[in-house]
Amino acid sequence: MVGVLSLENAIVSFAFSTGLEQAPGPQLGIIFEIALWVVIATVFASMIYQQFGSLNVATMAELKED
Amino acid sequence: MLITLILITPFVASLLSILVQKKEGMGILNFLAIAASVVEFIVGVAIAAAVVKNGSYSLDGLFSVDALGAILVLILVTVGAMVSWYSTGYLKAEVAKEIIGFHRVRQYFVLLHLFLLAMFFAIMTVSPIFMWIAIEATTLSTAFLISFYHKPSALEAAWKYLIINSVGLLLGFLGTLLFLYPAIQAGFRGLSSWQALLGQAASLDPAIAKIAFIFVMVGYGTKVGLVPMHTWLPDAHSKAPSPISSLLSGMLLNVAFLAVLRFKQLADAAVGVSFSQNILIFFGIISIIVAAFIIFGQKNYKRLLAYSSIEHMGIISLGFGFGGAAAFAGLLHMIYHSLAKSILFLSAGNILLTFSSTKIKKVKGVISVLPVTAVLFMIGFLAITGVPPFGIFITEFSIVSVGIHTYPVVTIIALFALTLVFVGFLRHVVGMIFADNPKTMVKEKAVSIVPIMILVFILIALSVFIPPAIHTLITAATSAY
Repeated sequence: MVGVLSLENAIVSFAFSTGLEQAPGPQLGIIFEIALWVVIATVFASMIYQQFGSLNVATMAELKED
Repeated sequence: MLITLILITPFVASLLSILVQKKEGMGILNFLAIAASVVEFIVGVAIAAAVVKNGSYSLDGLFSVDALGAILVLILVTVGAMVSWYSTGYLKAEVAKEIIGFHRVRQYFVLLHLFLLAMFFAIMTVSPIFMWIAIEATTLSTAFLISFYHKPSALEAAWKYLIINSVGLLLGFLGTLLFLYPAIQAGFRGLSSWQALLGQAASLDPAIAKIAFIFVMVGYGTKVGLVPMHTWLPDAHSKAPSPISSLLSGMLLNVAFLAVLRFKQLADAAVGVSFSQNILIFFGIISIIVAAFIIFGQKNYKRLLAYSSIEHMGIISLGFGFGGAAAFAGLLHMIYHSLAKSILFLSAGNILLTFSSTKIKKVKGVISVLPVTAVLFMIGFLAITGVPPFGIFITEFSIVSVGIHTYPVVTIIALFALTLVFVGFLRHVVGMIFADNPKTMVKEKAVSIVPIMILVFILIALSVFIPPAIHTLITAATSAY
């Protein structure tokens, strides 16, 4: 999650530094999108913790098909 | 007006579905799903008719549907309507088997409407930024549908889907920003539209255009499911409820491909057609090869269908990569694939409900247990593997005919892979359908087979006759490719 958000921040910083900022409408849309993503990813992280007892996603690699 | 209506309908249906609180409200949820899909179908057809008549259909400079968009709208409203109808019976059966409860059904329909809304928005918006937002919204709305059954493997599939697609789409976002550069340099400060960008694309630095298109191809290609960015797709398609798998495969991949095609036009204006064509051919052929080998050794029939989607996205990429008549065939292939794959996933839903397993070795003799579903699944199999007289035979033949002159090695490899796909599918499907099974015949409900039958009828009808209006739309949509 931190990696995805860092990438997101890096791209937005790049856009501002090169003068590629958008009109207010799209910018609000992007902010809303990122905020929603954080909420959903957090919900998933808590579901993973409940299910696997750990936030280490490597434990999921051991899953076999049903 | 029509665009407003088609966007408001799923939004209102989603809001109303949230308000349904009691278990007795299952009927209301079903009614909302079917009513919304009927409205969307009628409005979608009206929009397509307007595009045929006028060349495009717009709303206040914010939304616009061109010929390519109209084709996707038609696929979406058709597959969406059948999936919504089928879902009512599918979820009722799962509730009866105590696999899920009422709250999960409500969650399903709320998210289904939002998923459809995001796809309509992505197709119709004039802004590449809003298109990116809408495609990202499809990821967010479907993530909980993939983890729907709350099994560890479903959770893993949804997490993988969320992370891989988010990273992919971020790379696509970077490519989008790079494409915006010339329009912003030219002093354009409003909502950057595809038309505005196309007007400025020729002034884009060729090196930047190439880098931007690679980012877009990797980014949106992740959502399309092209190899090697495909790893989320088999898990997501196999773990989601079958009607959602049908929409993911039959429609979401097309919407992401639409983004690739829009950017291809910009890249072509900046650096010429050969650059984007070569990239599409590269991703197309490796997708076909990898999918073909995995299909051959596949043990799970829903994953089999998922890998088939990767293969067909590869074929469509090849079609647009070859260009000209192959691009026409590529878009037609997209239509046939959406219909055939929806038939297969919905039929697979009936099989899963009866056999309670997605493993091929645990499903035997479907023809004696679910005879109608077995026939529909067989038709879907024949159609998807390109057996004549189904349309996919014609489109694959057309793509190969164009490719053999310009890219003979790639075309021969593709032909070999397509043969492998057919053999692989055949060995799996024959066992599933015709092997002996001591189970007695199950009475198939109309709601679980009629939507599939309608899709089969449309697929066969379009295979033997393409209505002039659709022909006009495909011709107009592919003239730039």
